[in-house]
Amino acid sequence: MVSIVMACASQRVMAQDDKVSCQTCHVAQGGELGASVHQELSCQECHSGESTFSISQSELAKYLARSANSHLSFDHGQSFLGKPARKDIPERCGTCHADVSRMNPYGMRTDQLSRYWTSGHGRVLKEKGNDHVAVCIDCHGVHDIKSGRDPHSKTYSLNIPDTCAACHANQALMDEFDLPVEVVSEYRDSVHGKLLFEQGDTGAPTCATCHGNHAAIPPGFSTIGAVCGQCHHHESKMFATSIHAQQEEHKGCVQCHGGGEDSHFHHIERITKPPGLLIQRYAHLLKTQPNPTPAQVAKAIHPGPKQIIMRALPTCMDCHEELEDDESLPKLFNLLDEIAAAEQRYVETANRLDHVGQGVLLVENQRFLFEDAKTHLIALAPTQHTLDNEKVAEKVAALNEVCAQVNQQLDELEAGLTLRYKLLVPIWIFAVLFSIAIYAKYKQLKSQWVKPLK
Amino acid sequence: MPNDMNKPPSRRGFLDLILALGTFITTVAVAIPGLMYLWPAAKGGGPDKVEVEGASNMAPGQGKTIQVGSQAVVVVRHRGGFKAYSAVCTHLGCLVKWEQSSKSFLCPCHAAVFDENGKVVSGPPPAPLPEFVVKEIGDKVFVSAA
Amino acid sequence: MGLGKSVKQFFDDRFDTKLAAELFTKQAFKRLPPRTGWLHVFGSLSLLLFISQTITGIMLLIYYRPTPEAAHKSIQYITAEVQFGWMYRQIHAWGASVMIMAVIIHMIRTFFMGSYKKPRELTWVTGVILFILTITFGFTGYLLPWNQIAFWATTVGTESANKVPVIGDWLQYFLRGGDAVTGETLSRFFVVHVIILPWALTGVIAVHLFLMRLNNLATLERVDEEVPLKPEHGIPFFPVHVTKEGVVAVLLLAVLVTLAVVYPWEIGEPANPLETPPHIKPEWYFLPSYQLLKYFEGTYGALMGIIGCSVPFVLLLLWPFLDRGKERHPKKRPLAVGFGLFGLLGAMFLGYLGHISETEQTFFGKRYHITLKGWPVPLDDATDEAPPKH
Repeated sequence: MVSIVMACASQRVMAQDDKVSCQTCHVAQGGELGASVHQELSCQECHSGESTFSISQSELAKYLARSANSHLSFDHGQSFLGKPARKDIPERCGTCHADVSRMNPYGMRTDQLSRYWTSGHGRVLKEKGNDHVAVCIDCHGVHDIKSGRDPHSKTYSLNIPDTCAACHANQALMDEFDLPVEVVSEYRDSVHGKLLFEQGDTGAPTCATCHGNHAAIPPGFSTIGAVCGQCHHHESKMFATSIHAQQEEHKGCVQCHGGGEDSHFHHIERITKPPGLLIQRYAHLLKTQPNPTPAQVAKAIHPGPKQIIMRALPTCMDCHEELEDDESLPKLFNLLDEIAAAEQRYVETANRLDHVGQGVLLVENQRFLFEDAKTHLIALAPTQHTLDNEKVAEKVAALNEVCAQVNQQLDELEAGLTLRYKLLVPIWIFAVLFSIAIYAKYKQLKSQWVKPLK
Repeated sequence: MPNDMNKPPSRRGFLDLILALGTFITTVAVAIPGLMYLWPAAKGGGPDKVEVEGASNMAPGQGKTIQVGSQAVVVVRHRGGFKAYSAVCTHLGCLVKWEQSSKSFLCPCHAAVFDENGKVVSGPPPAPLPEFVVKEIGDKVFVSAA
Repeated sequence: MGLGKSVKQFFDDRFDTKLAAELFTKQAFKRLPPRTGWLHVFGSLSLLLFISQTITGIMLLIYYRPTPEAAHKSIQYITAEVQFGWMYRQIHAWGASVMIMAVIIHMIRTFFMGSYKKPRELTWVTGVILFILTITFGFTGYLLPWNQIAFWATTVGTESANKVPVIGDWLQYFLRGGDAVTGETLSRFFVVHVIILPWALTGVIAVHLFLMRLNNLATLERVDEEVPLKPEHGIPFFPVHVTKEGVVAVLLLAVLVTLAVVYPWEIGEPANPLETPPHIKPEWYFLPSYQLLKYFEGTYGALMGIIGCSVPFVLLLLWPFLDRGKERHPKKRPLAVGFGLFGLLGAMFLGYLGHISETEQTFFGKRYHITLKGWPVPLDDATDEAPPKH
């Protein structure tokens, strides 16, 4: 693209006293604009000024040969606005992006500007006049703005953490605002960051999912800590009923999931694991350990110390120092053991179902039934946020019930196979006796029909 | 034909009887499974095709979850006809539910929302709900995998 | 008896029934050499298995559907829903392996007893053709359940076709019915398996049996010095030899049912062209060629590999014309017997290497990882497989 523009530009330069356009001199910017989402716009839409200029070849050559430190100024026309100051950029973009009649043909919303002014970035810019905060171009680019769906865009989900890190991992810049620089690197190691970067799941939450993109936080939330409930609907609902939710000093979700005391709450971690991963880990265990003990299974499906948190309880004891000699503790431990046992039963049943289904039996009905077990297992995690032993026990029972049903049906199916084994006994008795009889007949016939040699 | 050797005829007759019996048992044992095999099985073969029970009683906008093979499928009656989508959320595999009031599929696990065409409206699912083939024959409705 | 008589009369008026009856009786009561023993049953055992394969194959065809969408489902249906469907499928699947085994033992017997020598060279040649047709049967039938193992084994199997010089790519395209293994391949393999091969095999079997009957069974006597068979010493095919085969047939049936129950072939996962399962290996009868091909690399290597795999078959076909010695008794033919043993043990060794390659094995109490080419690499006890990352 750039080379085409350059080729055209040089052709134009050849012509004597020709009219030249912006791109004759501003080659790079022209190329970027041509490849951007704004390719239909002309330079004047943002910069004003004239669109073409009459200039002789020799004079043009002077401008083109201009070295960086010379200050030969060019008359761009009376209305020319030049390069806008950083503090003016939001309003400049807003001339179109906040104008309903301009945005309507593209089906785009027009509240970005007003939302920006409510954001942390916008407020510092407006109230303190400090233009070291992010303005439109820092996240979207200047001439090279691309659609958020374009993988090369700065706002493509996989690129958003890098875009934010450009400032939020800059020590000098963050010191100015007294903000930590570790947040993006913590995010990268968090469950969401791993989902995004390691599994390429573009549906995984990025910085903007929780912090909002133009506004500070998504509408309807008082603090960032409360946005988790957007996706973790059940967890937040259940948590709201728990005793923790009533404690002033409790930090909410990040208290347990935020990655510990010395993190900045961006190292969000799981404590339990989704069914697919449990099954995968169990299958892996079986490769090396065909007959694992329950302890081995528990360790295999929750290998990290953080993931058997409920049994080890270090996080709880961060606050509940007295818990060590609490009488309710054995009861809690008992329940946690039951959860672990139910998870184990789940992975074993899943494995058995898979194994039997690939053998000689049809297990479609059992697979269908087992879908419920998965939903129960996933529901088990949110229920634990109620801190209500009875509710958790109910869910555990429901999960166990489905697993027991599936196992019982599989037992019945396999009993049919055992019957086949039993049938082999009479078949062999018959086959041996019958072949002995035929052999006797053979001997008899041979002696009748064949004269022995010698 | 050769002469009978020193065998008493009764013993020969007994052996022949056993052989005849053995042959008979073998023939029956082979023929009966064969005939049973040929007899059409209760459930027809081929791709899974399931009739939606009570489809004609469903009001427009109403949905119900049915089993197709081993899969859970939600059938929804729209004004224009029936549509069926996999009930398994493409995120972690929870079963989604049809919400008649909002005309969308809701996954209870991470509050994902799919529109009436199975497309992701919000939430973490990476892909739309797979669609199932619906055939309406008279007032009967059949669902099968695509 | 009026009816019986008039039926007889009907045929008498139209054919020389006496001649027909004579031909039939002559063949049925034909005297076989006196030393026709248990080793001689493997030929008829192969035939018996072919008949069993034909019957079970026809039975399976009733419910089988040869399309990528329905094939795997129909196998599931046969195995789990149709009464005794599991048995027919298992007997058919096992029958294939047992039949190839029977054919191989029959060939070994023929080879070591020198039965291929004059005047029975052509019987041997048709026998080798039958062997090749039988393993082609196995190869084409293996794909039909359309499960992961079948799909990928066929992909790998047809892949080696493009190593054939000049026409390789064309040959592979032709075999697969396209660039990759698809529904087109399934159709092709299906047609070859259920139409072309059964008739081809039937035809060659007819020639094979005809030649066998013309020259009678071979003895261990020197070529051209055979002592003529005295009829009274010979064993009549019917009713004497046939009872011996009856014993074999009854036991075979019991063995097949037992294999079907105890070691059922699994249905497996449906074929997924987007996901290759680890360690794809062909059936046991292809393992020697599979392993041999691994040792030849590069353009010329691949060509050498193809040649290396074809040479044994060419040698088998031409063997009666290469070995023209008069002796039949194995003790008097050390060279041929040595050569045969070398080929046999070599194939078994290669097959074993193919079987254990890319696995872990314990030899003399020590764990080894067996590489692709079959070299054992000692495993360090401390190294454990790393758990999956997440």
